Amino acid sequence: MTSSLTYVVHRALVAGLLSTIASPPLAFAQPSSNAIAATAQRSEAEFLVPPQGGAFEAPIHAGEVCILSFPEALSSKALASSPDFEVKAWGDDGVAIRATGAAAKTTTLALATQSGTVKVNMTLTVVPPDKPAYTLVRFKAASAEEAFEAQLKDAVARRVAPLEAELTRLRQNLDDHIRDRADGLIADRLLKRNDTIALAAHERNDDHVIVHVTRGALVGDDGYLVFEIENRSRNTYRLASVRVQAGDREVSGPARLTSPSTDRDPGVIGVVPAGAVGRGIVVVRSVDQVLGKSLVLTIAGPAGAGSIRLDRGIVFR
Amino acid sequence: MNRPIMMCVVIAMVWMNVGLHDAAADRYEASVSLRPLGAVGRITEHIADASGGNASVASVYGVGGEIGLMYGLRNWLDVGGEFAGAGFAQAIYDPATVAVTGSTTTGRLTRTTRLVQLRAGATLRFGVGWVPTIHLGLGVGGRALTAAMLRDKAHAHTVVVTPDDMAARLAIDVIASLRVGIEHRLDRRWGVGLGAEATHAVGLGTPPLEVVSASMSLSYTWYPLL
Repeated sequence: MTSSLTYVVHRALVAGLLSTIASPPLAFAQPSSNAIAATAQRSEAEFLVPPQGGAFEAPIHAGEVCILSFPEALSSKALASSPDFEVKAWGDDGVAIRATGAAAKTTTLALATQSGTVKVNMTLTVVPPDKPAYTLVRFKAASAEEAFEAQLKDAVARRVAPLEAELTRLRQNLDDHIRDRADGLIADRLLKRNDTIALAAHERNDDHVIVHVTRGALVGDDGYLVFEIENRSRNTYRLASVRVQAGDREVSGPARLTSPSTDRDPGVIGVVPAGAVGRGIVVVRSVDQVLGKSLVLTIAGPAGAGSIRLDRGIVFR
Repeated sequence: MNRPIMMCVVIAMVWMNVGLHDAAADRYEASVSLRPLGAVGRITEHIADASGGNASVASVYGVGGEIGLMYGLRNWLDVGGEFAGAGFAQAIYDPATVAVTGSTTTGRLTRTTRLVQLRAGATLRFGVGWVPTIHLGLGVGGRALTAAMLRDKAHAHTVVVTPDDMAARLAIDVIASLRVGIEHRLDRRWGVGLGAEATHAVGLGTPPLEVVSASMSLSYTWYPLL
């Protein structure tokens, strides 16, 4: 399920990237990713303008002044499409813009520097006070590649953001789904069979590590052996394997051990510090096939060290 | 700090480390132990001694053995039973004044004692690999007394007779015993140990018997299915 989810996300990312590359030139009319990030906090934006010029959009608040700043002196004329905006020179290399009212219509403003290296067509839109708006927009001349790269980066970021959010949501849903499946499986098995058997099998090794098998449980088609590892040696006992055998046939499933500390070795199930007791459990697969048969439980550390074999007193009935 | 004191400190530290490290023993385990022993018995007879008292005590050496079966209720507590038997050298009371066919006679009295005891008790265990132990037992026993023999040299010839009420017989004792020792676990099954034991037997109609013994032990341990 996780792999299919990854595939879907991958496809979505690829599709988004392709559509971004294929989008019309107006897509240049977006601030760089840095500018987007800064806008929400400082109401500033920086646009990279390719040599052939660019079209950009800027939201502004009615009554507030927005400065358009250029890297060099502007030509004397700025063309505006609507009388609802005041446009005044702000030094040689800037323009101050103010919307005269909240009802000001969207306008476009054509500007160019004297050398002609920066040519822009700004689309100014008045937005309500609760929406973010710019008060300072900087234009920076850039190569076509730089502008395209910035635009591509921004477009990908915008495309990926909702996908990441969706991925996070799906992951959360996946965890919930797995939990629900597991709970349902346990419930089904408990309904089928739920018996507990008292056991009293004990054995030790030469290092004073003792295993007590205290009970067994029959849940659904499987059985569980509950055991304790009483470590009375002076060294930590590292549990690496738990095997259950019925004759020569191995019937054990996964094993778990609760212990107060962990081990870096991924092959170690758990550790029992010196003087401590660890509680463990091992699954016995298809327990119906071994009912009434004497089982052998063998636990061991890495490379079989400190193995303990219990071969009496473990019978599911 | 002089050298003997330093040695004592080191020995004490080693003892504390190896003997009392974990202060626990073997829950669920059963063990059977064999203990050959050497003993010294203080055997009392109701006979007048040289100072005119009405009881004489003789100390004699003996040998014997014990077999014990214990079960671990806790990691620090075993309970179980023991069967003990011992034979002592001939006890000599000289001079001894006893009655022979109603007449008071003085001479050299000898008697031999053998005993068997059945005791139940508990053992406190204070270790894992090296296990200091304290055992307290109570039980009953039988004491086999041979016929006492009195050699009377007061006459022209030596007469060997059995005094009145000192024929061979079996006496019943009530017993209390205390043993301290240390055991070493060789592996998961076998252990060896040393112990010192004092036993006091109160006879029903017979004088008391006190025995001090030293023993070695060999034990086999397993987990019984209960």
